[in-house]
Amino acid sequence: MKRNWLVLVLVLVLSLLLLSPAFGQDKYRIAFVPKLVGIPYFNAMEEGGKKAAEDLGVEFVYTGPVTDDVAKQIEIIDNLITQGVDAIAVAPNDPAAITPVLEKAKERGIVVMTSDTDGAEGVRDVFVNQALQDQIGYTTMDELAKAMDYEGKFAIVSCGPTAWNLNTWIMYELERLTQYPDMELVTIRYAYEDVQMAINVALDLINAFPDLKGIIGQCSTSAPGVAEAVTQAGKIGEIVATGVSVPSMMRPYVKNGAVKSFVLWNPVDLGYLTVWAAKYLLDGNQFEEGVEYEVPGIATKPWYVAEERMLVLGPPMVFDETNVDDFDF
Amino acid sequence: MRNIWDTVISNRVLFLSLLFVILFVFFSFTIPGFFNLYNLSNMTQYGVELGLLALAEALVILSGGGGIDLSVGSMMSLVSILMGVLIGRAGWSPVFAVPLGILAGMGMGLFNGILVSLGRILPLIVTLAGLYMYRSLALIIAVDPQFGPNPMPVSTFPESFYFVGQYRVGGIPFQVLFIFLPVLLIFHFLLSRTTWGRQLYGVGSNETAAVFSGINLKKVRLTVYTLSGILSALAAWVITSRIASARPDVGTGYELQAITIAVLGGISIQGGEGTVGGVLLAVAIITMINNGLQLAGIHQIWQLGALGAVLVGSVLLNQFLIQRRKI
Repeated sequence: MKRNWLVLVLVLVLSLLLLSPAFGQDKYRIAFVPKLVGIPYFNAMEEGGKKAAEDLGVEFVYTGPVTDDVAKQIEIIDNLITQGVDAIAVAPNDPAAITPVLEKAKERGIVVMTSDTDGAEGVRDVFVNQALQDQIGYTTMDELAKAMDYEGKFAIVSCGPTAWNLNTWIMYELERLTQYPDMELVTIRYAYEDVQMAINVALDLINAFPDLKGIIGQCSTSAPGVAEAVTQAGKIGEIVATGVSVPSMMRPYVKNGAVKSFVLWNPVDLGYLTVWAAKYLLDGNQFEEGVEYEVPGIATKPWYVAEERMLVLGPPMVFDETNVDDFDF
Repeated sequence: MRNIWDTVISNRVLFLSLLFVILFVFFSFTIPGFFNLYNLSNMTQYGVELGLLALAEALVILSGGGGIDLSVGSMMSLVSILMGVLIGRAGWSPVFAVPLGILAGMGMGLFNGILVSLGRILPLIVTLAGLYMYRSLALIIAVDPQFGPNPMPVSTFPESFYFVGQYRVGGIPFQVLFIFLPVLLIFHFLLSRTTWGRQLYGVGSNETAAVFSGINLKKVRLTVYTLSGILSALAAWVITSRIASARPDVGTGYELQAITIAVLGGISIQGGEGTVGGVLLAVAIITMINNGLQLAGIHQIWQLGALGAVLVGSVLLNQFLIQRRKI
């Protein structure tokens, strides 16, 4: 009885010793950890990452928590360190909480990056940024001006009154407005992250300002909200809606004419660039200030801002009836 | 041989040990990177918070009378953000803020206990209310006027706060060695070697008999809910230090996982039956499965499913084996 056990244990230990160096692969293993898995936006980034991995001959690991769980995200990164991946990019759920585990990764010689959302600013090697704040604001204003034929009154329906990124975009929109002297902003209203509330706010605006010609929906929920309000009020053709949102929510309004164009960036390209940048650093290269990089496989020419160690994907992307069907996020 | 087998299947702890060994060997062979000292010691840190909460759940369920504590996750969130606000925003030293946080957890547990044992309200109702109240309170405390009406996490801690959750002693995470294992040992001792432990099992298995034999039912129940609050607060301290961030939502979803672990560990949902050892094994099994699945690169959506599957599977297997033995 006892001897059987002993033999079994011995066999186990021996075979484990034989198996253990099963790691060594010569391909780089590059991991991307999104805020959560299973939503269209990050699925799109995964698609880009996979494509880049195929093109560049690296292995792409895509894993993340099922909800936007901070502790789980850290645990997942820690296990990626154990697996011995070569680079880890993360879209952190908590920019500070991610710091210790990324420090640990860096100590082990892993290239650490943030992508989509920044965090651990003192630790990460590079932040892959989708677009600059000022350019998002400028582009939104330009698209509205074009749709309104450069004249008339318009309103902005923003979301949280204290949302830092939205307020920054609005600031740059107003800066750009000075180039369009025949356009006038009548009011800014707030609808929080709630499509229904955005519809109500926009319907009120349409009643309050009979000569309104345009509305900006500043966030991903208020943009489809104002477009729905224009549709419900029967003002398609008289009032035009635009804003910053995702194709899946805006598609019906591009089709019915309430929206001519809207603004975002391309998350597929963002995923592609993330993997490309990891490979670039793993190959021993350094990014340099002001250089525009040729990245085969994406539509834009990313550039580098040395002071913030930030690689910018490119100008924001404009979606209209010609391309809105090409994206499923 | 037949005798050994009988013992294994009818004894929950032995059964779980066997399951643990089988999984351990299986993972060691099939998953690269699993079987090495670093990973085995590193992964233990991920079982600590859940383990403390499962222990809290075990005590409450053991006390019978429909005992359950759905508020452990919310108590953890509230204590986490309380410590964060005191240290990060009010500039308190952790030396004062941590004990105050533990006291707050104790207070919340005591409040639950008073409502259950003196107010005679069903534990499910009391702690369900607690789940929402404490969670809401956590969000309210987290509001930082600087950022308007939005709750914000706190991440400005002094380096001295991190020793609990981030330091190692001899390669083993501090919180495993100096918090989790001592707590387990203490409760193992309390439950198996003291009068209080016997009273707890007595109250849980037969309330009437316990009252007739002179056990103070109310006092025993009051104590377990209070202990549940303290254990939740300890978990809050560990997780806040480990992730270096106090978050008002950190405990969301933990209550059900904790109950699952307690039940998997052999704590009878009717009360009065089960051991600390069983709970420890259940935590170890689940932590190991999570680690194994992640190292194997299996999609995250399977992990919670694995928890449920192991629970149902192990109970079914156990039942089946016991049934067969009887025939």
